[in-house]
Amino acid sequence: MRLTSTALATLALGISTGPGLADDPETYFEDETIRVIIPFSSGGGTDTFGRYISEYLGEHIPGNPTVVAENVTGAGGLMGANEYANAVDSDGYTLFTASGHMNLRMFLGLADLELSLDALEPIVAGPMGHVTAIQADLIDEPEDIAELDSITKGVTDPVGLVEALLAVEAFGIDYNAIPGYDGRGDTRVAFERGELDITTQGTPPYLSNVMPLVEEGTAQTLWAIGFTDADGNPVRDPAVPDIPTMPEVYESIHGELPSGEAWEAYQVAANLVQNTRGTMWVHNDAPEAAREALHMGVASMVEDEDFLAAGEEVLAGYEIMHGDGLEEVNRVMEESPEEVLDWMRDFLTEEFGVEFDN
Amino acid sequence: MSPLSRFTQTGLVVVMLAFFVYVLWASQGFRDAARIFPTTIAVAGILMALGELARQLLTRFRPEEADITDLGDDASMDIRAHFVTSGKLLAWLIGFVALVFTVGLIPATVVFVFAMMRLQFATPLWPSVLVTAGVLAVVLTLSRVLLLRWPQPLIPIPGL
Amino acid sequence: MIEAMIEALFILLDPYRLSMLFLGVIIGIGVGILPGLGGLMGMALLLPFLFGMDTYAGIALLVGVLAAVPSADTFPSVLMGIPGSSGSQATIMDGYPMTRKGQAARALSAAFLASMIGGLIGAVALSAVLPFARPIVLAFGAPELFMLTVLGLCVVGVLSGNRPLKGLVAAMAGLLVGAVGGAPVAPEYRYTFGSLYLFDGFSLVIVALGLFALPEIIDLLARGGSIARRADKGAAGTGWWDGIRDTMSHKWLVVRHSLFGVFLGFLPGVGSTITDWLNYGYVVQTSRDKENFGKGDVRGVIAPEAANNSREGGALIPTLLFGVPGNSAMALFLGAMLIFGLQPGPQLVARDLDLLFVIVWSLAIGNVLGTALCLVLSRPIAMLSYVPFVYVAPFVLLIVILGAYQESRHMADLVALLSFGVLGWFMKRSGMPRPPFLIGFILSGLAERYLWQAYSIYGWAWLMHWMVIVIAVIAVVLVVSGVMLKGSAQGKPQRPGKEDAP
Repeated sequence: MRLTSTALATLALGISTGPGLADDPETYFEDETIRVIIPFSSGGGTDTFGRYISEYLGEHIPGNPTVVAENVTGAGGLMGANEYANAVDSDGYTLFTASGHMNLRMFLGLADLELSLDALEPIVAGPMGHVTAIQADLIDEPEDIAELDSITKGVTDPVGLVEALLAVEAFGIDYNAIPGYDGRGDTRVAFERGELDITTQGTPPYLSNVMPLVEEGTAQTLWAIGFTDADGNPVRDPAVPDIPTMPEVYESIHGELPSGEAWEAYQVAANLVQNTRGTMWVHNDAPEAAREALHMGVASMVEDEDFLAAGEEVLAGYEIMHGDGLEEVNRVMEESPEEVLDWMRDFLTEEFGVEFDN
Repeated sequence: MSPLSRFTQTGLVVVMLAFFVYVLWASQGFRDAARIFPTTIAVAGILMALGELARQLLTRFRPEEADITDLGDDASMDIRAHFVTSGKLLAWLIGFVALVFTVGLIPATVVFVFAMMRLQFATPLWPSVLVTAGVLAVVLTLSRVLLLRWPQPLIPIPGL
Repeated sequence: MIEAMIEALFILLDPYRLSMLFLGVIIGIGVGILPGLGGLMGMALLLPFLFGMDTYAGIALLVGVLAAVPSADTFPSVLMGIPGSSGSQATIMDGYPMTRKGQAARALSAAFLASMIGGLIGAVALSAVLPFARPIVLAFGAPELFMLTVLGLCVVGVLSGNRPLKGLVAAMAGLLVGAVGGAPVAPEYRYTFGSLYLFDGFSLVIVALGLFALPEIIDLLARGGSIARRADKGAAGTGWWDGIRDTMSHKWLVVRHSLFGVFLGFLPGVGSTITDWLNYGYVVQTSRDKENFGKGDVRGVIAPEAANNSREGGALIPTLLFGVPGNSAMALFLGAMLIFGLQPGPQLVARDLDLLFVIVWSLAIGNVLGTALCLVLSRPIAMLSYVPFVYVAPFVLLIVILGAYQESRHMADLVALLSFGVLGWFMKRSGMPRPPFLIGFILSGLAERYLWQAYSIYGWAWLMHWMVIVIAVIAVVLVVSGVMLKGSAQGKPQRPGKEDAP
């Protein structure tokens, strides 16, 4: 009886019974269990990404540890994040999967969120772009957008669609924010119904749900959020290369790229959020051997044909980022000027009442 | 209606009334979008609770008919004895949750199920042992199937 | 279209896929029987196995779970008055009193046959309506959805019996308890006392288990004996055929409520969360002889059970057409579809017809399999109601606690469960109806959100939308007819012997 319950308790609790050789990445994870905390509920985009990686990562990390994904949900992801910050040893046996917006919340220091990006190191990330559409009867072509008076825009959680808000903001369009939508799916239906004038969707739902409306003639594609390079030049979204990005549309109207604080903030948000739509993090003070073993695992995993085949749909046509490829993420994190972040915090606080810690 | 039932019935409405008043008071600090709904409902709740208290006062000598709300409960029982037993059982439950917090779920389950069957219900030894073992098996299986990870108790028992 | 339908049937008849469907049904029955777990949990358990699986097999597996849960969750509702999952709450109202009277087998067999027919109607409706469903779903904007929440609240009147004020107080309390946590239309956390646990508010599973399960367990233990009051061992398990006959003789009721269930499943957010309560209110309000409702009228079992199975067919419509899940289990189904690269949307209907019909067939076959299995199981499981409750209670209690804990996996879940248990026990003992509290709790966030949206988008003009007016009229009729019937009921002489009820 005692033996069984001990074994079961070990299994159920995911307790690791002491590391192997502490400083050798080849053996660090031997016979161990890695727990992946996913702070959102099953079935969402972040969960799917986290479970997809968890499914394949174990067999590629030296020592073949068992990888178990676990949803620790609550308070919009705060429960899981705070558990990772406070209740977990930074020994590499526990990883954390965040969405791009979760990363931005950590970056800006949302009130009550105790996990900070400063304490984390990315292992692997998957990008995801967004596209904005508008009701077709409002404008004839995207360039008319500058002449609109005021449009209705659905708001879920303001940080959760900050790149869409900042795009409208940088463009200088006046909008009436309608609160209380559960997610982007809800705002999309309200858009189809005509209750909302403008909607921004992730690329896959844009292609499957908004494109038919565009073809039908009831909606019009406005712009893609896209990316920017280190000098602030627009970079098109690889999944929808034909759709001009917001700054390109702006340039075709005004003859120059947007400027001002909203535009600076937009660059930070668009790059951070869209590059890291799903990110797996490890404590950056975990033993070097652990971090190295994880990076080795990812490097080997992305060569695995099965992994790539199974993930075609999860990744939605974007290339997975790992190793040196994660530098783009690190660049945004390190080079974003503090005054731009302050402006973004003030914007979210004043317009939407979001509270930050500093 | 027994005096005890009448007391419970009035007491519960008073507690609800207090709850409505608290919500009304606590809501006043919120911004508009978060304040209007609870304020309206709390005011309506206060009025209805007062109305219900008035109704209970007016009908206090009249018997109340059983209806859809009773879920097939029977009328023939000793209310006072029922309250006492239920109170004891509730104490057992609170004790169990306290035990889960201190020593963890698995040991707490064993102790609670066995002790309650023996002490509260005077069940014979062997049936108590069997039920305890059965419950333990169910809990262990379900925790495993559902991947439930129980949090660390305050005083973990080594080996469990 | 017919070709696609037949083709899909052959796709599904592959032994591997069929066995996956069957596995899904078994898992669905397992999580359905356990109080507190539902389709959400069942599918969440399967999610990790879906990567790399054959698309049709994976879909059959998940739909099997979806189809079986609303049948299996009837067991705890009928046998112990414990809501098995969110779909079978209203079944308690008459199913449990029937068990107390020793008619558990009859209630269960009636429920399962109704479920089977309801599920089949749901599957047929899904395939028939899907091509035309878009405009219907789009017709329900924020104002219309708000009026539906009002309609849901009007059912409270039906559930409050002779003392409507008590029911209303309970409903108001439920609405306010539902307001705990993040406000739906403003970044404000209400009544959380700074506790992160309360940021999301209380979970429906914990509130329902607390209000109904714990008081019932305590009362049954305190009273002693078995669940069925007449411990007539010879009668155990009889009445199985009576239940079948009950459902057959109320076949129009089954059809009507199945269709109503499909329609409610359509409406994301509102309809599918309170399908069973609206159906219960509907059947009580349209029955001429209603004095037995709440005391074990079999119609009160048949109506919600037919509806909660057919609802799954309806709820797939917004999920497949708009990518908007009607409830949390559908949200997970949506996530699983994305794993297979199926983006829901209008083109899913145009392009992936075979897939669509695989879903329909899985739903139909899974439903028949699930209800048939439940029908077979119902006779032996009904025997539980004759076992001394002392032996059953520890199992039920621990399963309820596990079910509550898996909600957010936080110790505070247990404290919340216990608190709602105490509240529920006092409500039960003082004749304050618990269903209105639960309905208020469910509808709270929805009502606040849709009202605010309706006002922000349309100003007061939303009150003049024709559908808003139609729903308002239905709500008024529901309330007025309830009041009038109560008035006439009071004219009748009171039955002696029932008067001293606690």
